[in-house]
Amino acid sequence: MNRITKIALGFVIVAVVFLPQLVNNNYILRLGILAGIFIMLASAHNLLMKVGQLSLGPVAFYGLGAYISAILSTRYHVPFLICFLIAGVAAALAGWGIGRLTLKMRTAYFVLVTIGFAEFFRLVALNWTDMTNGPMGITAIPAPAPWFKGYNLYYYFVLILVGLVLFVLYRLENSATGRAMLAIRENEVLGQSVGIDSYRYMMQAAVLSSFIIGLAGSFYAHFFQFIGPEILGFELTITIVVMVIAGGRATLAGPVLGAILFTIIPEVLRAATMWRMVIYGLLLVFIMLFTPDGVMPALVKGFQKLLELIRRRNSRSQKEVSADQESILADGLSNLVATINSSSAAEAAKQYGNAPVLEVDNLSVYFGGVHAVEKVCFSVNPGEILAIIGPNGAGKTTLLNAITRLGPITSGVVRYKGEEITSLSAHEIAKKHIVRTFQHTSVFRRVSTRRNLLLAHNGQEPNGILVNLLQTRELKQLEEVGRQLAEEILKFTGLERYGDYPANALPYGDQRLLELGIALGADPHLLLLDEPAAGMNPTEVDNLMVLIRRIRDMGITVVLVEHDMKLVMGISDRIIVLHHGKQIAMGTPNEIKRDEVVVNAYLGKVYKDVETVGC
Amino acid sequence: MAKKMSLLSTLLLILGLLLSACGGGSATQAAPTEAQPAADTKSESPTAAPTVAPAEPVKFGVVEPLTGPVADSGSYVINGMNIGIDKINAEGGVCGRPLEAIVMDGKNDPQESANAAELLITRDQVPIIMGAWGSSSTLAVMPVMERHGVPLVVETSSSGKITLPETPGFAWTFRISPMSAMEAEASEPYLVSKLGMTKVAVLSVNNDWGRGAAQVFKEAIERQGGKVISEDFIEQSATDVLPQLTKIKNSEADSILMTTSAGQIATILKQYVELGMTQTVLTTGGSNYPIAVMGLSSKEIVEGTYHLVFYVPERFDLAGDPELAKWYLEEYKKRGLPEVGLGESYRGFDGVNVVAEAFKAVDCKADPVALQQALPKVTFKGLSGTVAFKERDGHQSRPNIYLVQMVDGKMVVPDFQFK
Repeated sequence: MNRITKIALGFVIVAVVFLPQLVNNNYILRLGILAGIFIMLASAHNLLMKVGQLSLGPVAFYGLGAYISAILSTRYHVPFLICFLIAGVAAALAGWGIGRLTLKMRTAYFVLVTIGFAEFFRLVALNWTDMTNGPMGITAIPAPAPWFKGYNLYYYFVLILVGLVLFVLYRLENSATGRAMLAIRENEVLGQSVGIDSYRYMMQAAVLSSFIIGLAGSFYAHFFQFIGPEILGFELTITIVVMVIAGGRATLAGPVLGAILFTIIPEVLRAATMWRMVIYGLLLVFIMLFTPDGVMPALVKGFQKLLELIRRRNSRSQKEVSADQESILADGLSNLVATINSSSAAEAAKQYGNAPVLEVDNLSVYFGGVHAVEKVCFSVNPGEILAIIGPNGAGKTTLLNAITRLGPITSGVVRYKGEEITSLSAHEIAKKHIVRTFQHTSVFRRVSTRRNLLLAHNGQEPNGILVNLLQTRELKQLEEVGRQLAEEILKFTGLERYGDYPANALPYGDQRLLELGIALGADPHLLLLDEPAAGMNPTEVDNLMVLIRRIRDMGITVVLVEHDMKLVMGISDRIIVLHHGKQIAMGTPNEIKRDEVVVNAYLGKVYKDVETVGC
Repeated sequence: MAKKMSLLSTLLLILGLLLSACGGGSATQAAPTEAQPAADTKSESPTAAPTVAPAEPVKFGVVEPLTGPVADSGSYVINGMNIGIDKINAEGGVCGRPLEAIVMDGKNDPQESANAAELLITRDQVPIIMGAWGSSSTLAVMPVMERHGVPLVVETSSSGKITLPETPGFAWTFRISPMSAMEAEASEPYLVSKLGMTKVAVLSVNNDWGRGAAQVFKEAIERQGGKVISEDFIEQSATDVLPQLTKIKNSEADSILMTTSAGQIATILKQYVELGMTQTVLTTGGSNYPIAVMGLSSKEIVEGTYHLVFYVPERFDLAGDPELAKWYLEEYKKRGLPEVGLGESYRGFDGVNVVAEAFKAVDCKADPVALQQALPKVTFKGLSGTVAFKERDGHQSRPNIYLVQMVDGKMVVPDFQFK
């Protein structure tokens, strides 16, 4: 945060805190209170959007919080603070339950199911007349306390609440949790492959967001003193989503600004009477057209441009990456001699000894009638480079997917350092320091190169919500390790000059290099590379070979799926050949080159009764 | 460059829109009377007082739905109110000062309505407000009125809760529209004995209004020895009621009681005719103006149906002031206002006159507390009987409630209801 932002923020805070004294106008205070409620709603909702899930059901928790609080206080005369907390907890529980049911779903399915839940809550509120008073709504909801008169108290109450919520969200955003959420949004599968438990983070987001929304609902009920099923209407959901998206979902300030703007705009437009909603709609269309990322990012960008203009007068020494720059791999790596010291692989290798690191025992993967992988057996020795080759469709990637648990296993067992890992999930595999790359370039596209590497280390950092909120020393230390590792990998891969550029701005070869870097960032002891040389020219392949050897020399065992024979024959210690899912040969590069079965398989000769290499 | 130009032009366009809209808005606010085409009745009116000096206007606030699904109903109320304001001002205003309404859109949304009321009280400093159409909106506005200590004249809402002492804001709320219970009470003597509603199927909209009405009518029917054999509540937006109607048709019901808006009543009646049903139909709730129902369906479809209404335009003798009712109907027609809106417009007319009477009682002082004190004593012979807050501790008036039957496209008032 630079000085100007700090000063601006200071002004805003002072203005907000002294608003009641400054304006002394109940109407504006009322809007302030409503804006506060909406800031909570929009910010909490944005939390869920941060993990890439568009929920259209925030009102379900809002309504739940409001109704629970209203029913408890009107029927059972429970004091406000208890109602308030119960409302939050109940909403969080509901968020947890609904999350359990829905978070396995993605995209449109998730959206539809959340709409369904919101509607379900609305219908319950509407039809369970004995409890909710149905469409008649609940009146005479008491104020938080008898001395809660006038708007000032409500205003400060909601102000403190908003402050707390924003503080929590800020803390989370700048912690392992926030980085993990970014990784999930950008590339969920890649995130899992480096050890990020996306389901767990989504659950955290769902529970925390519904908790906040539930609190907001409770406060709303006691402020408004009347609630009806209207607050569970779809219109409110749309308002909240508009606030988040039009405000700018990428930042913390976006939804805040969105909430304030879209509380004020309809009020300002009151003067337009019947044309109000028409103008409101038009405004919205224009906002989305001209600031597609939201108002807040557009403001920040405009401000930065202004600053740059001023700065450029003084100096013009901006370095920029030109699009036609040669890939680092093609440039040659001879001058790169950096090693990665923060990696724990060497230490682990020293302790482990000589038994096979990975044992694949009778592994089969069937997709219906298709036997993609059939009873494959092999083991990987510590410190070796093992290549898996075979024609397209031989089942190589399926095999990698099965080992890293990103794909299914039909039968068979995989052991890592003697321990069965077949029943683990993808992110747990990564936590065991087994990391993979992907056949198709897979990076966190809109994130800077340096941050890509930081995200990669996330799986090794604690994922507890409290640890991240409190920012414990343990967390800070691990963060520091991640930062150091990222810098070392930048040097190691030669990507240093791209450190601050988004990954998708990098040349193709360098994106593949970054992919390798991401895998290294997850601190692997066993690295599984899926066609790392795909799409590379001969020079780039030569350099990649150097790099892979260096990785092995750091104590990392490498399993490689590859088509490029030069690379395979050049660096592998042993080679396994797959054909139609079956393992047809295993041996050193020289043995494989002479193997008749392999040659036939590759050249497409008809062959009968291939003996698969048994276990 | 082209993009910058387009951006600039759009910005200009928005600005233009905003300015013109604001201009339009403030014009209706500042002089709602001039906006009316028939504003010149002022000078023609025989009762016109010597030209009103440009005294400071007496302002009051209005919260009605001007946008949203029930915007049309809100605009009907506003139409009636404007006729009322013009008449009052043509006759010299209140205390020699012109009466002026500041109208705010409440969208019939509780939160919006409450915001609107807040704005009227704090920015415009109105000492009294009329509104806010739907019961939910009114119930949401009431705590705001209580906080500021400003009285509210309720012109449309029917929920019984509004004039219950334990409801926040009760002390400041004065209602001229009848509660559902009043409708039930008024019709109780003839529901079973004359209309023959012994086995009744209830088909109502699923909101406070529909549910509330169903409850009180059920009690009334049972007191008279009839029976409610089924209750169905439909969504406000439902357009297909064939399942419910088929069920009713196949039951032993001899009559159907409907509480919903004119639009939905028309939809239901169309499907009722389609199914060839013969059950007696009675509609209630105050938004069931039969002419509007007919306008949305046809003369044949509404033939023979019964409706409880609070205002029968053609029957001047039933109004609180027959002369006034006659004048009002003529004036309404003269202004070319939609006939379907006539049935709801009277609320605005009676409402604004109550506001004017209250102002007169306090010498037009913008004093909310004085107005609150004055309102229980206000009487006004209006279009729907005489407004007088005699019930619910001086907060509830009992207007006219009449049964009408549609015969040959006309509203007929059956005689059996007058003992």
